[in-house]
Amino acid sequence: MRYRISHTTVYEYSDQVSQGYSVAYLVPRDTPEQKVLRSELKVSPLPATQLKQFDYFGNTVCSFSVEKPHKKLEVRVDSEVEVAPSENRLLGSGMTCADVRQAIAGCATAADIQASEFCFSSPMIGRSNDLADFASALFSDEREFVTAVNELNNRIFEEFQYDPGFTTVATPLDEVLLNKRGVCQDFAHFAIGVLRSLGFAARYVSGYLETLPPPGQQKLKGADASHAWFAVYVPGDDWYDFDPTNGAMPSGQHITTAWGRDYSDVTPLKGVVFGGGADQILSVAVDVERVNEGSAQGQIQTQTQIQNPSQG
Amino acid sequence: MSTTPFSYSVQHAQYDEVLRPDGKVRDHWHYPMQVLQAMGPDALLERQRTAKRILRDDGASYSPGDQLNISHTWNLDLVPMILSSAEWSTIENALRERAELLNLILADLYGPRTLIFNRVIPPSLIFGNPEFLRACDGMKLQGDHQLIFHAADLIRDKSGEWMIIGDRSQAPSGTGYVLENRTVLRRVMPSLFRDAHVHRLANFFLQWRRKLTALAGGKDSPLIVYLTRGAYQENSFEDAYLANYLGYPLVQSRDLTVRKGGLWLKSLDGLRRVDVVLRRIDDCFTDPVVSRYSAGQGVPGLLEVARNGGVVIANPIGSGILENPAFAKYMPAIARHFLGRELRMNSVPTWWCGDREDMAYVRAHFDDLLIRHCSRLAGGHSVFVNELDKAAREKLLHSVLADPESYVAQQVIPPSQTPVLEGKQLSSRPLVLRGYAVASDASYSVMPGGLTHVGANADTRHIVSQYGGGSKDTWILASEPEAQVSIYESEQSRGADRSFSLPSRIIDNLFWFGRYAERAESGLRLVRTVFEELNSIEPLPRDMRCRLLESVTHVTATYPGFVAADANIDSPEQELLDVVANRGRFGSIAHCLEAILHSADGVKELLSNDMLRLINDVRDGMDYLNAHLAEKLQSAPEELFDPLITTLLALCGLSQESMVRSRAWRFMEMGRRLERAQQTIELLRHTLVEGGVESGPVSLLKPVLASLESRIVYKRYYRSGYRLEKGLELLLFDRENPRSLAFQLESLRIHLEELNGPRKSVQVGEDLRCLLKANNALLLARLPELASTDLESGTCLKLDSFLEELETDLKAAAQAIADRYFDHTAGPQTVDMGGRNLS
Repeated sequence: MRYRISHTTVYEYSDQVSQGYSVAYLVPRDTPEQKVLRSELKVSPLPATQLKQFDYFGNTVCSFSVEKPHKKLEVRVDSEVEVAPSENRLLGSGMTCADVRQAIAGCATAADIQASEFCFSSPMIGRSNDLADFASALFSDEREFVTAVNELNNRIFEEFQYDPGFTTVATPLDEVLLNKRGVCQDFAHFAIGVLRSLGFAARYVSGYLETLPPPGQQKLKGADASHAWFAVYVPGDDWYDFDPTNGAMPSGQHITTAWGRDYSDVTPLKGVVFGGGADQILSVAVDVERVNEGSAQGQIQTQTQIQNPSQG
Repeated sequence: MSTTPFSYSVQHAQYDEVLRPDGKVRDHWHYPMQVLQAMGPDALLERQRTAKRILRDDGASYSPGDQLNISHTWNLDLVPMILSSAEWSTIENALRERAELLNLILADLYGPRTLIFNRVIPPSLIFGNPEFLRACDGMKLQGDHQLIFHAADLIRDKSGEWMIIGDRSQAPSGTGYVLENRTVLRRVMPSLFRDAHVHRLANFFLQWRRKLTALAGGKDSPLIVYLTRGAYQENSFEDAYLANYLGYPLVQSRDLTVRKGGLWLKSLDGLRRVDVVLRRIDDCFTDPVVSRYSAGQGVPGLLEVARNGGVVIANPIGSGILENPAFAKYMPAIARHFLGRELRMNSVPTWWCGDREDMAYVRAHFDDLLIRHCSRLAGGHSVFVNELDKAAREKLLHSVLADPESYVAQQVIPPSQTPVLEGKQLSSRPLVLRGYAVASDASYSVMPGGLTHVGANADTRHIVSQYGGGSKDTWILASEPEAQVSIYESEQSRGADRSFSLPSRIIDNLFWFGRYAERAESGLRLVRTVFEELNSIEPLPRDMRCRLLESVTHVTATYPGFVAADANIDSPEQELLDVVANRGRFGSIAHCLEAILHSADGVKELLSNDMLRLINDVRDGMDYLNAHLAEKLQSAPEELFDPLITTLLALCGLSQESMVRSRAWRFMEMGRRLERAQQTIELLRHTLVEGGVESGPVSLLKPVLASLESRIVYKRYYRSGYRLEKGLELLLFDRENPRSLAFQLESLRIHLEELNGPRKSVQVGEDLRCLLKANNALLLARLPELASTDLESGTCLKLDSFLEELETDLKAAAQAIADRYFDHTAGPQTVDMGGRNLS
């Protein structure tokens, strides 16, 4: 499947900004299932410097610096990405939870060592007994690991309520656990926190989700906005993606932008400014459209959504 | 027991630096001990006092936390820490080896990570540590050295073996104190120092400068800045001292800005490109983009500039990971991995709680261990478990078990002991030696010396953590006298760098330094005059006395004061003293003095030693006032103020005589002139304007003249007695009188025109425009009109409106100066630009 994604952020400051430096994780990365055909980031006003580099995790990170006074910043990214539809991977490797725990602790291969990075507390996800307790029964030694993760994913989907007004970017995990409410980022963080607290390696994935509902099925949440989910590491095998917001494993409709230990590693757009005043108005518009190969008008669906920052 | 002969005997069970186990003096201590004994306790004590005075005069202090008021004079013990050259070479080799190893570790961790992938160290040692900055991955300085500057703390165990107990790899402190200790000791013990053939320190600093110059990549006269967190920090003395010694401008984050892919210093002469940053702040405060800990601080984008070669930062950002005390456990393996051989010096036995077996050991021996956090970011200090009560021990153990990767345990090893002068005796104290290494050529140069910390008492185990103990100059004995070297090489001899870069922040401080110094001085002089008048043999009429007191409140702006309806006019002493001494009262003299100290702290590196000494006198003057106010209230309290007024006058004089006429100096002068002009206007308006009594306001002319230090001149010029017109002539118009308004405005005009530079634009700046307006009004005014009084009220209406207008113009000029020259940027703010993944 081929997708065209456009993601526009407009930031209006109450006061003039004399200088602003920003870092963006908005250009998608290549993955085994995904190839980025093109991606372009445009900033207005024109930045004095703009760089595109790979970060520690292999993500594409763009940074730019606007050095003339401005009251409005606009960042627009247009990408085209080819995503392979993935087969049902739930049949998995057959490794038990005990096998996985032991392999990760043993760090027998370079891949294991690299994955062990995702076992620890990170800036926004602290391991805790409460998190472990939430799902320790699911991950008993003899259980098949990927099946257990799938059950955790479903449990979050069923027990947690999607509520964009409830949490903010800074809501801690124990509060999410207590209230069982939040948005995709909270659910992903929560699942990761549970898995790490149980000794597994889990990472945070940031990206987009296509909104086209398959015939006869309910429309997926997360229509045309940036999205987030998580992936777990199966030693000797690979990373498996899970989307707790939709209670599913991604299969061709998730477009990956970047991954890291948590949101703070791959924040889509953050900046440091001088001036700017206390109030800012933000609007974000995201379009994800499927490009029909062979068809001249590749567009199937376009949807634009303006988010109110008070909810974010 | 008699204290003579002056002797030292072992009072502990540890290794003693001076005495052998058989009680005989160690060879390298023979000569120094002889000299000390020959001097005797009285002479030593006298020299100790001299040393203390010098330290105080140099402003050698440290402030715990952010409390500038609690500034402790640096504590230096006169008995040096002495090491023979044989002993030293062991330590020197070990320090060099340590720096080399840490350098290799640093390059590896932010590069191929062979230590992890070859299983030399467990992955969790690094991946779980918040000081491992992933944003620094792949960054590399040119050349062999990633770690430019390193410090290690060492102790000597009972068997006489030295071992390393900790590393400082970000911005190791202490070298400034080492220099100061050496300077002072050489002054108070000159012959001992000379004859003992002590290794000199200058060469080490020369190497340091050389390395930093080399890092600029061969650029002609590169700009190297010394980056600190700023005044009011624990080590602000050291920063000013060291920056000055090394010859680099002392800057804070807000003095720097990232533009066009480079780092720039916002200097008085505009933006100047920075080549190398000597970093004296921790990783977490360098760049708000990198670290969530640096909110509101740091230079946004600094790391990216460094990554792309736009600037060199030494030590590089990310080096904090090397301070993880858990490395101690793996050092032998790391040495084998990188060097293929065993370590030259051991670290203190260390257990990392992230290791299952180690954790078991730590649990079993918990009470005997020292527990440390693997990251200083956590804010936790080292804890001797057996100093905790049972509940606290359990709590600590619980924290360790919950997050074992974040803790290490170290064996508690009592350090060696060395004598310090305590009263008239020599007593034993435990010591920790901090050694320093700087990158040079293919390896490292080790400072022949170091900072010796001694504990506050014989049994303490908290030595480095509490500066309160004391310090010693550290002597490494050379076999023969060494040649002197200068740390400035030929690079400097090409001619002085006239445009020596000063951050523009400095002028703000200097301006206010000038203003507050003048405000304090004029306020004090007024209060002194008032006291003299109160106790005069020719008392003022009651209404004039009342007006004079009210003028104190107006001039110092300590409302309500004597303007209050219930003010006690008949016994005003208490209120007057409060105006002087109440630190918490806005506008009080004490408040001004404190502001002087604050602004002086921000410009320390610009002030001469004599100026610094006067600043210390101001500090002492405040203490003196507070101590004697109560007893002096009864008789002649005005005498109390004399020493302070003299100090402030001396400060004023020195700023004229010992500061270069730079742009910076002009701001200090302008502050002073503006303040004096405004104070004079304020005083005149509240004393000489209003009529209302038969004698007229002229009866206040005498105290006003006295307060403005113009009374003697007046008496010489005008023998005819006190007349308003004559008084105004002297105080407003006389250009020869350095206290007159005309003199202040003329000086201000000259400064502002100089600052505006030779390019005469058609339009003058707003600052100069306001000033010229006031100046012209003064030039064009008619004295008889101003001195004329309204027939009915006896009030000088013309004078009042004239002064009011001048006041308005001067305020506008001051505002315009601030708008034009001072840096108003607030700190950076981090904004999450709605990037939240929301679906």
